Amino acid sequence: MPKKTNFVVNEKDSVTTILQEGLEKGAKLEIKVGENSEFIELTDEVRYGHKIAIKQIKKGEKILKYGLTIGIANKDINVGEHVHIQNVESIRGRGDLAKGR
Amino acid sequence: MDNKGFLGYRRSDGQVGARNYLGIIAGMDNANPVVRTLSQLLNGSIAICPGYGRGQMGEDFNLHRRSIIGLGKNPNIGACLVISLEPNSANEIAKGIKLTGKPVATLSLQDDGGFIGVLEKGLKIGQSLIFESTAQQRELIGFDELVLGVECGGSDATSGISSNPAVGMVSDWIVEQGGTVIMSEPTEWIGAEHILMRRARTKQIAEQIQKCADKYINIAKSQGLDLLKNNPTLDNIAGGLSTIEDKTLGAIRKGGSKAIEGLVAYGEKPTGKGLFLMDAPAAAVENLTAIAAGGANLILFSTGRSNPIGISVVPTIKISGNKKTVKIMASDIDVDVSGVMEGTLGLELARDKIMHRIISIASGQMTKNEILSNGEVSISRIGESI
Repeated sequence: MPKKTNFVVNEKDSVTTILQEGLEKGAKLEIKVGENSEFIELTDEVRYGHKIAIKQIKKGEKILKYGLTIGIANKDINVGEHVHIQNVESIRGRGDLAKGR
Repeated sequence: MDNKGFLGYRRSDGQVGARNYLGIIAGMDNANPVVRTLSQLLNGSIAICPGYGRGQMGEDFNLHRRSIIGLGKNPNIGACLVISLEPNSANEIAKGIKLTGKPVATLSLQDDGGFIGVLEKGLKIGQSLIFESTAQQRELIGFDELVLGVECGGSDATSGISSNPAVGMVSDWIVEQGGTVIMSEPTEWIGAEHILMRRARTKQIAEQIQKCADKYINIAKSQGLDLLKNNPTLDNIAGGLSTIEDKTLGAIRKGGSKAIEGLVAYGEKPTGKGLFLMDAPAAAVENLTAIAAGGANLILFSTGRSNPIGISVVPTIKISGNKKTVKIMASDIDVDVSGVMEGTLGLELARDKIMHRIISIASGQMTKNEILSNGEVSISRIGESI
C-alpha cells in the first residue's frame, strides 16, 4: 500500500492536510475523498502538517476542515495552493467583525 | 466489540476502582517528605503530595481542600492515611473522604511525634490498612461504571485528525454504554465553544460553557495578553494550524459528539452519567489532578509530540497518531494509532484498539508511566497565600 501523502478529514472539506516532508511545488498528490480520487498539483512548497486547497475557494468564502468552518478566505485561493495565515482569517473572537461572536 | 466490561473493585459507595491503593495524603506541603518516605516503605501505597495547603484562604482554599478530598475519595484508592502538620486539617480532610465509607486514618506531625513518630506509627497503620484492603478481589464491572477522563497534550498536526477523533469515538461508545466521560481544558474550547454550546443539554449549560470560555479570555486580558491573538501559538502555526478554530475544532474531537450533560468546577464530581465538561486548566498535571479529584477511574491522554507524565491515582493511557513519536517515545506511549495517518487503520479499528487497552488496563495491566512511577499531583492555585 503506498504511503498516504495527505489526509482529508471530512467529505465536505475544502482543504487537505499534508503528511509528507519535503513536497516541492509541482508535486502531484492523490486526493481521496470517500470513494473518489483525483490528482492535484501543488502550486507551493508545502510542509508536513500544513494544508492545501482541494477546491477553488473565493475571497470571503468559508474554509472547511473537519466538515466545519476554520476561517474565511481573505483572497481567492486556487486548487493546490497553500492554505495558511497568509490567506485565512479567523472569524472567532474578532472584536473588529460585527458578527464575530 | 466485546462489551462485557472489565475487572474492577466495587466500592461501598457504588463507585468502581481500576486500582486498589492505600493513598497516603499530605494535607500540607510540610508533610510531603514523611508521606513520600512512608510510601517508599509501604508496598501497595501511593504518595499523594499536592503541595501548598497552609495559609490558603477563600476560594483558593476551597478549591484546594475540595480537590485533596476528591483525590482521597477516588475509587482507585481503597483506604487512606491522611498526614498533616496538626490534627485539625488532617481530621477535616479525613471527614470528607470518610463519606465514601472507606477506611481513613489520620496522623499529625505535631501530635504524633514529628517526622520519626509519624513514620513509626504510619508504618504500622499503613501495613494494617493495606493488609485489610488488598483482601478485596476484582469483579466483572460494566462500562456504565467507567468514569473516563479525556485529555490532550503535546498536540501537533496529527492530534486533531488521528488520536483525538479515535479517543472521541471511545468517548461516544462509553456514553452509549451508560458510562461517564469528563473533558476539560476550556482554553481549548475557545473558537469551538459554539459547537459545544449547541451540544449542551440545556440552555443554562450552554450559557455556563460560554461563561467559562470567556473567563479564560478575561484572565489573559487581565495579564495584558490577547489570548486569541496569541493562539494558535507560533509553534502551532509553524506546525500548520492556521486559526484558533483550526486548533480547537481538532482538540474538542476527543470529547466525541454526544450531548453535554453539565459543566463542573475544578476537581468536582460529575452529577450524573454521560459527557461532562470540567473547568480545569490545560497544563497536564493540574488537569490530570482535577480529573482524578472528580472521580475518574481511568484517563485517556491523546498526544502528538508526547508529554510522558501521568498521575499516580489514575492509570493514564497515552495514545499517539504520530509515527515518529510512537517510535522515539515508545517507552511512554501505550496505544499506537499512527495507522490512522497512514491510511492503514480506520477510526473504528483505532477505537477498538484503544478499547482493548482500556479493558486490560482497567483490569490491572500497568500503563507505561505507572511502571516508571512517572506520575505527579498538582492542584491549581487561584489566589495567593498569606
